Amino acid sequence: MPGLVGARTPSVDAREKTTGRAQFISDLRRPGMLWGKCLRSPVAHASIRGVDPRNAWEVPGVADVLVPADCPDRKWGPIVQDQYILPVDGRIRFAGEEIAAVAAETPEAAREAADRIAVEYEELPVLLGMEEALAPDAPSLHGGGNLASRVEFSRGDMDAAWKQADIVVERTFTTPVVHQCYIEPVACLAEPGADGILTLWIPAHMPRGERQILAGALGIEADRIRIRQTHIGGSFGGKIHHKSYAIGALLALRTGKPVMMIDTREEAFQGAYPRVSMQAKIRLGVSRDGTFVAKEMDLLADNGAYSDEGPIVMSVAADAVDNLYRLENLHTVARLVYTNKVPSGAFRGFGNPQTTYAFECLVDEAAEALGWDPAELRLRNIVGPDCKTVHGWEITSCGLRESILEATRQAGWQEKRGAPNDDPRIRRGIGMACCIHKSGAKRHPDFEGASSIVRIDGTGTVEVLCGETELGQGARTVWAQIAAEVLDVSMDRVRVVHLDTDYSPYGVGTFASRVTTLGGKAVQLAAEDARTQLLRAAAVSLGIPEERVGTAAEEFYDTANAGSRIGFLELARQAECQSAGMPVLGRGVFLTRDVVYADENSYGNLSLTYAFATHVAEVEVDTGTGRVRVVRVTAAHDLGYPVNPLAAEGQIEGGVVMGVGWALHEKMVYDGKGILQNPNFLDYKIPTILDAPEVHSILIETNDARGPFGAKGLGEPAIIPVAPAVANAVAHAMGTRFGEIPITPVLLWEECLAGTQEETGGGSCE
Amino acid sequence: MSECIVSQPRDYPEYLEILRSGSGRPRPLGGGTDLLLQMRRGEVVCDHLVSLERMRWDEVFVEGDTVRLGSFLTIAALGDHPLLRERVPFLCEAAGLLGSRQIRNVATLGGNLCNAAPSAETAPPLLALDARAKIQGPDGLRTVPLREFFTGPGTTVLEEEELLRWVEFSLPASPWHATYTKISPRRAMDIAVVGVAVLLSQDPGNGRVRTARIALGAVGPTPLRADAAEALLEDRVPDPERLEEAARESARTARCITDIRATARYRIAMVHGSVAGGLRECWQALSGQKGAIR
Repeated sequence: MPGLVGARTPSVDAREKTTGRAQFISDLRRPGMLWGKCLRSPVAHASIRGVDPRNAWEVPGVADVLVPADCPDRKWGPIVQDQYILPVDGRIRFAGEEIAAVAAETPEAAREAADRIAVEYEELPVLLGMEEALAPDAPSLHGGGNLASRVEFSRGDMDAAWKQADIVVERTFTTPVVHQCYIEPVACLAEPGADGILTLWIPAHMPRGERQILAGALGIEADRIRIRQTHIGGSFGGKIHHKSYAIGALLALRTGKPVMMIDTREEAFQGAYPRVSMQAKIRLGVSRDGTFVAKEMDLLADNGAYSDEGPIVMSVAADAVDNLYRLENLHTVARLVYTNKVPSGAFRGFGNPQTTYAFECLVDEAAEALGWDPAELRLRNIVGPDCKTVHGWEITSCGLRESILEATRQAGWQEKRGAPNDDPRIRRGIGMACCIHKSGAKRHPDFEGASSIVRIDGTGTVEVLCGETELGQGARTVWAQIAAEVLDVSMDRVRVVHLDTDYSPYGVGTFASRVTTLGGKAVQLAAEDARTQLLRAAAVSLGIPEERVGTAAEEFYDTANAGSRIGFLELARQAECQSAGMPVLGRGVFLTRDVVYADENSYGNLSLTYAFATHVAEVEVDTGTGRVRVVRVTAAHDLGYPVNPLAAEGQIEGGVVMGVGWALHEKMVYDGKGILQNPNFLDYKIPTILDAPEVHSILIETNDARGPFGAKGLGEPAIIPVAPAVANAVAHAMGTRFGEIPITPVLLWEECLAGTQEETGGGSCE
Repeated sequence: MSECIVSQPRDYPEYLEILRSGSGRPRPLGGGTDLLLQMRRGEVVCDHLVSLERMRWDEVFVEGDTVRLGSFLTIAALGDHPLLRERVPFLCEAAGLLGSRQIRNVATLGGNLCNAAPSAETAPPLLALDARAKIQGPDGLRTVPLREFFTGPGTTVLEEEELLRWVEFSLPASPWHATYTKISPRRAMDIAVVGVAVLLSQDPGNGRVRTARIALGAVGPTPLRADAAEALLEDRVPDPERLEEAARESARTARCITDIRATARYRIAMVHGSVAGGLRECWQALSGQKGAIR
């Protein structure tokens, strides 16, 4: 119905989720279902001398014990093929790595049997630091050094550019290993069918692509695998790929029985793809008139022991932030390094948050050096609409300037920036940061786009099928709004089908904030196609030429004779009869023609369109304890058009709180032997609601011509500016800068307060 | 966690009976908020949980200046108790800072003390109140000062078959004021990096400090008292410098380590700051005659 798109619409699955009735993958049960569990390595680097499964078989209820020798002797991996399903090569490369697996009748038996598998190790030196791993004499994790991937590119004339720089600022920034902390740990149900088809219930983001990867790993044809999904309890990038998808499949194929694998929280931390930790050394040259004249970056990225999404994450980190400003001269070297840590991967923002944090802090430092307001310096350098960036990104709509102006105005920037900071106990600060992010990205070699089928049968049910994955972000709600709006029907008639590779069209996948933009556009086109068919059927039913059919809510009528009309339900029934039972099948094909992979020099237009944001953070620093409290974040987002403002604000609030966790609290801590010290929510500290700031969302509409109803992406931009805005606010409060997050009380105290307190004989904590 | 049976004795003799007849490795169970995690992590192996819930050791008695708190009192009941909030507000405040509401609803006072974490939330205020542990054993009750109750991280003086029956303390006879300060990175659901309880009482006759008690959590193998710092204050009218000196002395008492939660020198500084802040507040309350309990 008109007005659905753009309306504050509660999630279509809110009721089933809040009443506890929604089924997640971990809720599924099957007759004869077995429980799978992995034995994980207690050491970070070792050769395996032997694996003896005999004791495991003695546990009652054990149906299978899978050891490395049972696995295909074939390397696999989504981007780089550098791992086996289980370590066939007899080498352990991180603590938590899967060595063997068990299927048993109960979860307890599976756990016990896995623990009883005897493994003899010969421990090897552990490499944890990136520089250490790159040293020429460092032991090599995969042969041929520990450089997993390298990117280098230059623009302009650096020598000439540095001569124009009146001011040069430089700093090395580090970001921690942090986990997505999705509420539902990864669950995977592998179900071998009597028909020879293996059904995998997995929360993968790109089910079709993942099917191909898994088929390769298992050595079977992709058409033997069907992937199905139900509700997924969040992912934030962490479930794109997962070892248990392959291990569960192997156990199911071997036993002929359904096998469920569910990670514990500890396993999620130890074994599954946290954010790539980075170290970015950046040098920025600025001329006296405020122009960014030269940028040099040396980036190190910690891949962990195997390549998951790390290589692409690093390439995004290498160039994304450059597109925020009108830079002409820059040089970047980025290196991805193997270490004996958990393989790192995708996490909301996909590399962009790491270097945006670093660069946006350095921009503030440049402003300080120039004596400029940080907002002014940004406004002097930002990109605008209808331009091509230094890396060939073709910006269409761009509300970046508006986002800076609105965020600073509504936050009271001018006044607070200049406010006296004379309370000795609580120091106040205000800081800002901006971001640019893709709304879509090329992943399939042959196309970038999305497709959808809208099917209306004789009962009047509008089924929406789309190949992109709903992870909990609200895609199904947005698609339902779009379909209902186009078809002029109530939301209740629309059913967005959970993804099933047997029925859903190919979906490139959920990443790069592309699902509302590309998936939504495909649904819009499919609904429009279905509507055209309904109009044709209405003309037949009403016995009039098609051009005379008029429409109202759930109704079709003769514009020349308003008394002649047919309701939506009756029309759906008649349409089915008119076509011998064939439902109305709307086809939505959205193909973007000018999106490419970046070339070897990191140049090319990567996305359909680009989203922008500015966050202003206000903090209070307790000078007694070093604790930072983020009081308020004013978040202005150019999201094109808010298809669902309620959901958009939810995305922003979630992104801000997650960003505050990254900025202030969260860090996976390893001891010297590479053992994770805090694989639990007691010692790994995500913010609680009391640590969450007030979030003031500002939705800036630029109505991008390419997205559905003008919409662009929002999921990732919501987190990207948070950490630098908070860090800049802390710097404003304390007058001291340090290039490290999380800014824990201990870090802040050690950096800013320890000295002063020794001199004055101590602060006070009240 | 493998299979485990649960017994629910109604009184101590039945508890003993279960212990003596039962097979396997029994463990007394309070709210289970620590024990079940320890079992899940494999740190405690136990196949028989003996729940103390039905023994109803959850009384709160206040008679004159004596307060007795049953060991099965939940942390939420302790924190919310109207009379206790009036008489020992800083103890209730500390209870209210433990874990989350859900945890406080099941966690027990006895569990918090017997688990003997150096960071146990209720320990510093009870130490500052000079509390005594009443221990039930096969031969009856015995009394141990709480400051002798803890013997190390996770260990206490409790012998096999003994249970903490209650904790009791006497309220200071002269006007007093006390504070509890918790330092933790998060505003809730966090473990104390440092927990400090400070209690001062004042002789109304000469205006001097009658008793000073400073108790420190999470800064040593057990919660501890800063005796030397206390001695600096007793029987004096402390000026700000003296209060500061006592805070410095408290920091010297702390035996801090660097661990995943904080560095040793951060902890030392936080002890210093927390004690200083607590002493100032207490002394102001007493000398201003405002907020002091008399």
